[in-house]
Amino acid sequence: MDTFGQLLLGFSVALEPINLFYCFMGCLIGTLVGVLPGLGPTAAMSLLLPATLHITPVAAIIMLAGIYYGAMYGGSTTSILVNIPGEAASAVTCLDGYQMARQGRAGPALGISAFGSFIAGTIGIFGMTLMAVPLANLAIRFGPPEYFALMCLGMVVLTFLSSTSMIRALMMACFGVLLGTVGTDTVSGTARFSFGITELLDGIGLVPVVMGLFGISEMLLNIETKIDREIFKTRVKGLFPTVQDWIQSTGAIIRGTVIGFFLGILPGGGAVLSSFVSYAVEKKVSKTPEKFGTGMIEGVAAPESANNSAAQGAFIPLLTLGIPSNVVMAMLLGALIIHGVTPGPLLLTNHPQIFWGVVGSMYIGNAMLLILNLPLIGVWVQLLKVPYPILMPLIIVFCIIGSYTIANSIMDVFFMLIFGVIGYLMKKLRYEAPPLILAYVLGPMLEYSLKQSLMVSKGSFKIFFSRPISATCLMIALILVVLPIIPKLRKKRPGAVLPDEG
Amino acid sequence: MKRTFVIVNIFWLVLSTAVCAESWRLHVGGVHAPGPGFLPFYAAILLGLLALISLLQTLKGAKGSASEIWGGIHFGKLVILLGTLFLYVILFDWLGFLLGTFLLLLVLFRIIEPYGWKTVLFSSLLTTAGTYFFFVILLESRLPKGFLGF
Repeated sequence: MDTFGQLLLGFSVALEPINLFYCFMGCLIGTLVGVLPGLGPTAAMSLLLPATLHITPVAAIIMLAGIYYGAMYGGSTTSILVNIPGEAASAVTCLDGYQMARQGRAGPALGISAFGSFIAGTIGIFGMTLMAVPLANLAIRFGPPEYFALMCLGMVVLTFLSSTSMIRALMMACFGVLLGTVGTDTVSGTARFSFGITELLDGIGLVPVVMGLFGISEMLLNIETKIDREIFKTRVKGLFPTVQDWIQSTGAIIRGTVIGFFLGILPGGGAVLSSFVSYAVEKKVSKTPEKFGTGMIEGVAAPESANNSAAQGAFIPLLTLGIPSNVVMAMLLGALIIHGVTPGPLLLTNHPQIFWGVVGSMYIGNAMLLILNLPLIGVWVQLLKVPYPILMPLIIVFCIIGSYTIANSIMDVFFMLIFGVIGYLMKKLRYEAPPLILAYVLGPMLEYSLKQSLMVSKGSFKIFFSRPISATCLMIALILVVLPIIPKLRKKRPGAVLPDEG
Repeated sequence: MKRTFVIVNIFWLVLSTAVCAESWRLHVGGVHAPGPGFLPFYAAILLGLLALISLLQTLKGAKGSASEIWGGIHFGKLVILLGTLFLYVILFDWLGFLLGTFLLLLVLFRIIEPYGWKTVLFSSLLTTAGTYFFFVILLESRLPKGFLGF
């Protein structure tokens, strides 16, 4: 079956009423967590993962994917109206979006953000549709050394782009790998670091770790800071950008889409990185760069387009190679595995209805999000008025139930609280969670491919450097590790201001 | 601040040493036949080396006061919140979801923002009922019933 035929299969799956419902739910929840500061898509996905155990894998993945790209839409609303990023990928939108709102142009800012997101998201999915099959065919030829090298590269890129010290980010990656080794060794059957606790024989669950590090820790932090959310009192009107707005934004949307898509595919990349890079590029190509930060519509269009196409691009390495490129995709990988689906090159042949169903639902979801974010903008503005002290206990209870119901084990709730405290201390001491989560998820796969590679090569590390793909990936990873040592370059590290993806 | 980071790095060093020792006990193996302790052993060594570099960097250059990290913390609120959450976990099976969550919410609503008791009671009841409806009735999740049997 050709790509068009497979896409038709995808639409037939996505248009089934139940899948349509979960697609809508995902988009709705995604917009909700995008609008609300403090709860990102990663925490929301882990929160709802147990709820998806009762539904089919395709519906579950459709919903969870919807949460991710939906959050990209919703995040801009808070950035523009409140000057607080609803989620990390919209942080840079605050700069010009809020200024536009202050100048009475909140409507066009929200409008161009939604239209830009829609255009970029749709182009991103189209790119994914075209690239998936060739990439999966290529991935079939990947052996353990290639997988090992790609995973190493992903982890190194993420640590390189960390907002704090790269050494600390690498430490977090090591800690994540160590956490991933807790439980029974799949090769020898030996129990590792379980200290006689039966619940640890299967390892520490992904959901308690993510909920603790992203959900509970955020609540503990918020207890000490009062979140002031001053919302614009003026009515949001004129959501459709003018012809002049479109002329100014078209180039920004196109550039943002291309940058976002390719940075989304990049291991360690994602929506956050792409929004920052596209903003920087826009400033660079502009004839009036000094006006950026004063309410330039390009400063809204570019990052919002970039984060949406990146959100779509990030699905490519996960679904075709089985390697998550960022922490949200790591969460989705966990969800796929829980549902008994192994992502990777064989996903297209073994479960075409899941792969193409998700792709089809993304086209539909993007259209749903345009409707959710434009005519219904008033609803989201009202939601921003809900006091945080009311939302916080609710989120805590949701985290507890979410952790418990994944295996009906109170130990999971206990682990979630422990990781909540760890996450809180990490945030206080400026250690980042995304490298830890990504390494934790990739750790077991990394170990397996490392051991396999060494067994095949009879103990020779040459195997990693004698194959072009693995050699290239490892060389890039090595360069990225060495780069920060050079003092002049350390100051210019491009991603040094990136907030967490989750 | 310097002292805090020194302590943190020493913690990482101790952790790395402990993991190395446990990995050694598990059997590290060699490159020809990696054992179950192979990856954790080398990951822990790398962690230890990074912690050592970080420690040296801290000793060389960290400035600022501890209040930059710990300033603004409401220790009282934090301890009550964590204490309540851990107590909830311990008593979860015995109290059951409905009663346990209602009591937990009473404390949470009260300590996060000192609302009046009427608001606290109403919010706690509503939230407990709402979550019960969503998770137990709608999604058919199995949550403990506790000593009261509901």
